[in-house]
Amino acid sequence: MNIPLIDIGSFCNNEKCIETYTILGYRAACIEGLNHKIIRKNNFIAVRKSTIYSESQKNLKHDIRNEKSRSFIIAVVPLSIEVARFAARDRRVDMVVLIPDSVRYIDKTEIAMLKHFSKPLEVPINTLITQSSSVKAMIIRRIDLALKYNVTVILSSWAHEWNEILAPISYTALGSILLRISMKDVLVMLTNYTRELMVKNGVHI
Amino acid sequence: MISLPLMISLIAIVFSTATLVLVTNRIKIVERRLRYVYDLITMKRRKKHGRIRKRYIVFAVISEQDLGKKDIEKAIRRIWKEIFGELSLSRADPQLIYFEPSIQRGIIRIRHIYKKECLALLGIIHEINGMKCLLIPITVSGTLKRAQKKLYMLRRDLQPK
Repeated sequence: MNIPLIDIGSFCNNEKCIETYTILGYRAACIEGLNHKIIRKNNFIAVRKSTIYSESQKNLKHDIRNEKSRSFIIAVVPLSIEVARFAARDRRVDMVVLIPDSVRYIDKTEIAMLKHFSKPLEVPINTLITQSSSVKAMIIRRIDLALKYNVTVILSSWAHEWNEILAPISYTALGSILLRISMKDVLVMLTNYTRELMVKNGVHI
Repeated sequence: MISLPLMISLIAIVFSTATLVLVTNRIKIVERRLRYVYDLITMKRRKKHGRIRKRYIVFAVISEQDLGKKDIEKAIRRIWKEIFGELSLSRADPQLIYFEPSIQRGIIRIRHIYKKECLALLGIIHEINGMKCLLIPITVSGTLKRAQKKLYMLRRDLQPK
């Protein structure tokens, strides 16, 4: 496949998962808790990613300092307004994650800041399926706001097992239905934005 | 009973026809317009429904153990109901019309407007009868014949070893 398909967020770090990614046609994946910083296997690249959950700015700074040298991609789940604002403007942070824990701290100002500092918003696609309807509504409202502000939205699988990894065609179809955008736009979220993010952090694809 | 918007549109048509007669003296156009108005009043002209078009989605199954046709069909219907609702399920009517257990591949028939939903659904299914599995859409076709052809041809790497 010519288009490099990349899964930007996954927890699935065993051999079977990497095999599944290869079968499904992915070129790269950012996996949390990977043993090595980077793994290259049959034209597939797996890089280590860190997701930091933080309530205070002090702790976040400390965690980023520790993780930046060990991981390629750093995503932050803000658990307070202060952390959300800091994550939006700090250069070392690559993404801000929108999950039910952080949904209350991602407001209009935060979206405007993300836009201003050109920072993407990571949305795990499984939260849009498994959560209750009220939580889903909150998340979808934030995504709509982000799309309205032209903030880069990146979808990730957050797969914990090999069977939770989505096939690219299913990914685009599901994203298109949930976000009410065209399949082409979802494909861009899966390929171009993610590739840019990885290249920016020094991974050659 | 004729609704108010229809009434207004009829009056507009009659007036425009009258002006047309006065200006051009073209009887045939007038006749055609009057017939149209008459059809509208007598409800002869109704919205034509399009032909029900189908799509055939070829998919492969990767699982710990081999799965049966019935299990897969049940899982598809159950999860469709959970995600998209019962009304959507009855309209889309997804049917597993063909399943080859030896290569763990099958064909789903669906109404063409629900193709995207079906593709999304195949990605959502992670477990059937407590067994971990992955359904991978391979291709979408307009005819069963072509779908069956593709079933045996494409993506040999997805076949169980």
